[in-house]
Amino acid sequence: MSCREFEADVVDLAREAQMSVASAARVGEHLEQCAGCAARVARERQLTRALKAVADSTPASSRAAAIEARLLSAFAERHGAASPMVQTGRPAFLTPAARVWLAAAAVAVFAVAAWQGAARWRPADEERPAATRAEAGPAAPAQTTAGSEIGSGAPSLAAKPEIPPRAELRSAAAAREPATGPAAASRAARPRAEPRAWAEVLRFVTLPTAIGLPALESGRIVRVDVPTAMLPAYGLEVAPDSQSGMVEADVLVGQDGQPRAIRFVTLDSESRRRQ
Amino acid sequence: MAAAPLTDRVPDDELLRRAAAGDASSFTELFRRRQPDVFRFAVHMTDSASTADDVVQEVFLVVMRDGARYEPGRATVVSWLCGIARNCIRQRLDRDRRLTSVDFANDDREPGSDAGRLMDPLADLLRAERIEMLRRAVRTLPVPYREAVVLCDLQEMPYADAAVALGCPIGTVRSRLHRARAMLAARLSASSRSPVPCVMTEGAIP
Repeated sequence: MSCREFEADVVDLAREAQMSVASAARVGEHLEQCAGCAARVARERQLTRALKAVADSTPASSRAAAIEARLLSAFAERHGAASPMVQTGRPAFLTPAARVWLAAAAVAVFAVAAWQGAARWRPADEERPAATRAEAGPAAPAQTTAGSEIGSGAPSLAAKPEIPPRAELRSAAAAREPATGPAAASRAARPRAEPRAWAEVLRFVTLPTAIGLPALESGRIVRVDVPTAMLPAYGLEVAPDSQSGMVEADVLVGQDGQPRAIRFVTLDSESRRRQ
Repeated sequence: MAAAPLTDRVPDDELLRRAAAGDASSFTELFRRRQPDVFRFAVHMTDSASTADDVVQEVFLVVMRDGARYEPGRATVVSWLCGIARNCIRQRLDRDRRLTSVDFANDDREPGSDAGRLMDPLADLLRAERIEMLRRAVRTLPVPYREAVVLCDLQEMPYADAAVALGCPIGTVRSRLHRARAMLAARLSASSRSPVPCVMTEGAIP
């Protein structure tokens, strides 16, 4: 191999790029005989290390989270999908901008509810079935609005019948998973070893507006009517024939009057039938 | 059908396929996994962190719109993304020849894990100075050569993937890289006689 031929491979050699066995043998043989080319390789290796240093010192984007939130919002608009956080059921997944977006949705919900009049707001204890009232647990004694208020104690897991969501109203994540079969049976049989946070226990979704509020010491569950058009903001799919209706939701209001979490109950058709 | 769990084991092309089908979680995972690659490529090419962020956003908007057009057998996802980024960057470079400089001294980079190595401030300062010198030299390379250096050396992308991203044969990538490194060596040699001022940032010293 001549020095000229060696020059064609010097960069690959310095970068430790893949080289055929035959080429590597020829290059190695030439290096043993040519001090000039050996020095040339040494300089190229030095440059490679310096470029690696440049690459390693390149800062990451400081706006990645904001860009991600904007993209996800655009993605949801494009695909008509639900909030990714709610889809996956992982609150930590909620990006800052998504929180703002969800907060705006929450505000809209409450604005609509307020517009509809306080008369339509009613404490959950007035209409909720007894089994549902028990969800608040023993920390909510019967004499105090029969379960619609939550005491400062941790809610119990013992008496926790769940309000079954209707087939039309389900999370996108749930929509992708079969409700029956071995997987579902496995989930049902899974023991609940550790007490969970109150919101999870009660199947509530924490409102973004509740982030940063004082810890929940006591509260009330208030049932409200929510336009179905707002449901995608909470990661819920709506049947096509129910797009213009209303659904019932329970809002958990803390000791300071601030809403902390929301839980959807039924679709409008069901509500109307009951009224 | 239950969605498969999203972990690092899900290949990029599968994430892209799911994202194109409307799965937001896959889109998010792909963004988080590959955004740094696109950003680094863009920041070295444009010399501007804010422009690089814009390029990242444009690239993933294209992913959102045209993700189904990706051909798995033809290129890796990262090279496909860098190819999109390259088009965005070229349009910007044509539109705005003079982009603002990156202020690496004032960015929000994470502190390095090897801060304990800062035993000799002078040596570290000199090392930082050399890095800054080289960074500036890369910035001044003509675009085709800069692309080759950024993808192959800074991004450590294989020749084949870089060729896809750059839309040229592998041989062209190799020759451009060879030429670019020769330019860098020459510029560094010239710059070493007039070192640039450099602010040392703790943790930035490799």
